[in-house]
Amino acid sequence: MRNGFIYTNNFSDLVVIDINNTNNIREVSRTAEVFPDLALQYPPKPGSVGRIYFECPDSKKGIVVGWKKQTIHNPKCFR
Amino acid sequence: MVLLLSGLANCTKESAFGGNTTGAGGSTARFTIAGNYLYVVDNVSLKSFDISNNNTPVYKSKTEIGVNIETIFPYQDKLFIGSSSSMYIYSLSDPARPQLLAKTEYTIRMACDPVVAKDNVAYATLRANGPCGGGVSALVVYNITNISNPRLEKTVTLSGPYGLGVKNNSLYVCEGSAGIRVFNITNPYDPVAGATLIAANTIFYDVIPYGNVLIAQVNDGFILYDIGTNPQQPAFLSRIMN
Repeated sequence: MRNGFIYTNNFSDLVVIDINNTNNIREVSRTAEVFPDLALQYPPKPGSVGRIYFECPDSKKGIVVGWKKQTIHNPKCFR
Repeated sequence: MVLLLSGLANCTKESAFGGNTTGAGGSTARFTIAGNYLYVVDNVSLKSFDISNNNTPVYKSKTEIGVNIETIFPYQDKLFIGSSSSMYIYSLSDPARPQLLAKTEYTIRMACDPVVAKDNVAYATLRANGPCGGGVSALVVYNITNISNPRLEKTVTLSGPYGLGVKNNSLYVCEGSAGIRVFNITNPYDPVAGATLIAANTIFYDVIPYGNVLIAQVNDGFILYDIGTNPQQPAFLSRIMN
């Protein structure tokens, strides 16, 4: 935080929030792809298991907001 | 989660974080503020943003650092960056384009390693268990009088440290469910273990000494302690749930 502005992240975006007027807290800026690690491009690896497979994210469809465990056919992505 | 707090409320305490730092952050932070710049680390690189205009961060540069970058901490006109195997020190003499001054490889590979610095000393924690692997959990003390050649002064074995914070003669090290260990660093190169703060069903991840308050990030929120009365014996103030 600096000069009454909170610097934080929303997924992979850098977000600046003005809290100088606590009755009117507002987002004043948003910069995309500052935190690429937080973009959830792949699901978390549960513990020490080996390889996990997942649907490859398609950036044209937007950003990844979460992952669900499901049976998928012929997955191309793994880690 | 990343937490940054303003240093405006108490300018006299700024020395704990370095003279030109205008924000305060934890040792496990992924970004930090120094002067008019915001610095962000991701897994492999360091980015700088000019935030002179509060409303509009302006991207300035990207520097490739190495692999498994974890934490960033500002100190004087330098940035301390912790990776799973090394401590990097960057100069901010050109704040838009940080320059590498030193890289110190830990003798113990693959451990999690938040870093804080004060005067001519840098403190880092190495955690053996958890996603970072590695074999030894410890607090390591480096002499950084010669900033381009940090020298290992002491290794204190711990159970499984996370983040840490330093203020004047006190060093606070989070040890997960084992609490916060308070060290006396009157002799900065030889931390002496003192009080341990614990709480039921609580895992301590990181601390920020902020003026007279010690802010502890725990599994379900934050715990605030008074460190104004006796910094070596933090007194519980309140608990804020997420």
